[in-house]
Amino acid sequence: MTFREPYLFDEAVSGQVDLFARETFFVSYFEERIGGDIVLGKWFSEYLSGSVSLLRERLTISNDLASKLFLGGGGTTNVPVSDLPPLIQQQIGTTTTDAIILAIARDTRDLYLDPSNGARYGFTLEFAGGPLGGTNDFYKATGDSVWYFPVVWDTVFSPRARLGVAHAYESGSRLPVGDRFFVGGIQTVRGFTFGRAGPTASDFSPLGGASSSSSISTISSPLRPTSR
Amino acid sequence: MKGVAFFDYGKGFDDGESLSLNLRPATGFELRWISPFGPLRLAYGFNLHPRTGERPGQFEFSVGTLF
Repeated sequence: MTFREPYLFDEAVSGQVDLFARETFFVSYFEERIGGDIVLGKWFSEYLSGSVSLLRERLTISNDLASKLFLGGGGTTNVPVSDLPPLIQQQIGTTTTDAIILAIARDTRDLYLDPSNGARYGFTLEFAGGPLGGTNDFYKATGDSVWYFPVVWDTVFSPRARLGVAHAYESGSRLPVGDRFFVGGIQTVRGFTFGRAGPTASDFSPLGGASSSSSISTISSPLRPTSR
Repeated sequence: MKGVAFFDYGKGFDDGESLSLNLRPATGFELRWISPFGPLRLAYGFNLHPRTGERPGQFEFSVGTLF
């Protein structure tokens, strides 16, 4: 659920509040996140924008799949905690994240939905815990660049490069598994199921990476002439 | 409706593993349609160097998310 005010206090600053509850299933375990954030965004020029977000969320990692509405009915049984990957065993339970997220982007794409020219460069830095509170203390940095080059006959060549690093900076603290990088799947590296182009457990449950690197190159072309 | 050919190259690195350019390659094709329900994608990718237990290819779809 999102509330957004594009011109907060009559300034060129946008304000946004998000409230969310989501569940992600990772084969033998699942993660639930309930929380909210406040986002202040600003356009510095025609192409350059930035935002500051404050995030507070409660995370639960559980193996209790049988109690889940969609999975429990399908005869899914719980994997015993002792059979879960060690990384997940350590994270079973509930934690909280209080974080500040800084994002900056330069966007010169000609269209938002189906661009054929331009580029978008984005950089995001998340800092969680420490003086902000919460039980999870980590930082996370991600960069994402995508370019669009028109070739011939409405065909567009689009390379994209992404890099991410995350680290729990307090000894004894943790980087929540859902904040790790899941490479593999239609949003990252196609040809792999979700997260499987990265660390996996022996049962192939994706565990996520502490860092990630990927490049995808795409050539797209209309399958019928566009009406003009 | 658009037809797409792709070459993807990426990896998630475990704790203590250093970032490198030794990534996992895949190639394939995709159909995209900006439908009334949002962008629709159907993709088939070939895992070019499958490891033991990995399938040689993977079919995937997504609705509502951008490319």
